[in-house]
Amino acid sequence: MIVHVFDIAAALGFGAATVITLILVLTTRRTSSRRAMTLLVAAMTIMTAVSLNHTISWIPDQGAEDLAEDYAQVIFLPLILYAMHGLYQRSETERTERALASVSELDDRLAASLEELSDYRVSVLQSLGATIDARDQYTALHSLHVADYAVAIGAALGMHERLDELEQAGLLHDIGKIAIPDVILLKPAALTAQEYATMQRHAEVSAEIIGGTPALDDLVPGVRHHHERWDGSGYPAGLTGEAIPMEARILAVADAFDAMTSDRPYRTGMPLDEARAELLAQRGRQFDPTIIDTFIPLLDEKIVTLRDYSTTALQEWSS
Amino acid sequence: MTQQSEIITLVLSVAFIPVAIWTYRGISLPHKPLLAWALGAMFGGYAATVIEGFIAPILFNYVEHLAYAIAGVCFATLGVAVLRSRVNTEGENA
Repeated sequence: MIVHVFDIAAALGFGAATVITLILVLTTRRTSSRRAMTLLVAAMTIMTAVSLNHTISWIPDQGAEDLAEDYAQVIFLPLILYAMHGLYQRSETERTERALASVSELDDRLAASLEELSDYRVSVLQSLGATIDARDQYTALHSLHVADYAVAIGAALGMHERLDELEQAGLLHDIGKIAIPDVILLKPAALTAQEYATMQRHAEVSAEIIGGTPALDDLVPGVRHHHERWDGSGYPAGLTGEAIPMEARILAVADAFDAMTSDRPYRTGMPLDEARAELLAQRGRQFDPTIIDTFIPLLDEKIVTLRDYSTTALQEWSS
Repeated sequence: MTQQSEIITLVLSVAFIPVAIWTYRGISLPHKPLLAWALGAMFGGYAATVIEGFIAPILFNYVEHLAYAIAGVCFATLGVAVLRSRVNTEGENA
């Protein structure tokens, strides 16, 4: 008697599973899932038939052949296994989709973080720029010009991915001058040897100030070494040739060109032709020949022109 | 007496066990252990069908039918769980 209870339970269970899998087949949108579900419907139908056969077998003269029932069970196995394989593939696809969604979400968060970092970097630059301006307006304008020249050279050299860094290094390359006493920084005459030695400290002080801000530490090499000379006679490290960071070699040319062409209280600025000749004279001695060979055509073709030292330019930049 | 088809079913099910386990581990389903119970019960049913031909026929006949009952109920419950999960997911996405 209890066997029949089991058979009825099996028939009801497999019958319900058949109906449910049929509903799933009809409501599934994915073709691969529908195929797996269809196989499940077939498997559940077979087992429902087998269970029903068991159930009615206790009624005299009822029930199908045992042999047919047994072979029906043989078919059940591959059907269920193939259906499981279909579900496995669907699960793999879902896992891949979830992984892609996670990567996409991480990508968005990274982009937002980079934007935030970029905003932070700009605000630090503005603060440091304001610091230079408050101390010495000439240095502020000079920094602005050096940044412009450096970007022009960098663009001509194809360093498009480093142009922002070049501009920022140009703007901050002399920030160390805030540590130089006024009597030296604003002296309306040529410096003595001792004063010049003090003045030379500004490159390292600039690097220390910038290096203290993690968002700007990639600017440090260019700023620290912008007074190195191609022949090794520069400062602070006396580096030679290509041992000098590329950004520093570019800043050196831009810095020297703006210093030569700008008016100072103790001298007037050189005309463009003289400055051009001086650059060429220092090619391979003070300056990297490649940088000079890049910059001179920019001057000749008037792609780069002398920058204005009116305070309007500074006000425009500050705003 | 054991029939040829019962032996084939048992051999097939034994051969399918490693594949079924490997596939089962990669499947994501709500209440997934029910699938393991259902498959285990089916295998138990096949084994009991063969064993009843050799020893304790009444006992193993009970075991066979009980195993199929468990498998049927597990498959039905699993189906309900999948159906409910799908309804919930579509409700969330709507």
